[in-house]
Amino acid sequence: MAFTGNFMPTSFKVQILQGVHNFSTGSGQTFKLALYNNSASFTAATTAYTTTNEVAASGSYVAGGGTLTKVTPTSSGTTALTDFADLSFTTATITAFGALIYNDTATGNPAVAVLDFGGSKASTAGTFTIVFPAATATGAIIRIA
Amino acid sequence: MFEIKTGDIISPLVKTSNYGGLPLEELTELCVNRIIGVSETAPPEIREQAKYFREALERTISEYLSRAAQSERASCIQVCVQGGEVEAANLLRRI
Repeated sequence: MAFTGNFMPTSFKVQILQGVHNFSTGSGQTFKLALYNNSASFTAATTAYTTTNEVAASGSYVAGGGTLTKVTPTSSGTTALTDFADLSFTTATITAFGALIYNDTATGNPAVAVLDFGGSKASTAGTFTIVFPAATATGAIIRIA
Repeated sequence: MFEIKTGDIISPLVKTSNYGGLPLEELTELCVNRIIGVSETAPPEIREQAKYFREALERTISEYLSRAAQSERASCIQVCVQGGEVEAANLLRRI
């Protein structure tokens, strides 16, 4: 199996309506990003974080991944959006093909987004940085129009 | 009836380095991209202004990132020296 694209899990869309997720910077929840090898097979049907096929701990990367720094949800035109600061793992030897953003606070660590890197990305005793797209109405990582 | 659509997720960019951190140039680019962005459909005069602003930002941010790195290194060297790790301090000085 392999990564086959970016997905916003269907379960996440349901959970938006249920008020499960809170992306606010102050009172919000903790969201994490975990990295995976090419055996991971996430789709829109993915529901939660899993340790299966997660890359091994190395440098500042630990099991479960890194905590994302949230940017309070805002709007641009009629589109609501939220964003995260870029995330770096340092002194890390990692080979990853994609990532999963998940809610580390909510029960069951529900999935938020599946990210496909489009191929192998590797660092050797170096820095592995995930750069999120610009926080605009057409580019922000999570948008509701 | 109202329909709410979630936008397609755009792939994040991944930057990696080997045997060290990201180079100054890449960090500068990441920083500037966070501060300024201009739509491809913006009027030419706006895009031109943004371009000059971006270049000015790049120069300033690059300079101060470089100073920050040097300052941090100087602090690390002093920690090594005070801890009796003179060889480590010398290695840091050669960076």
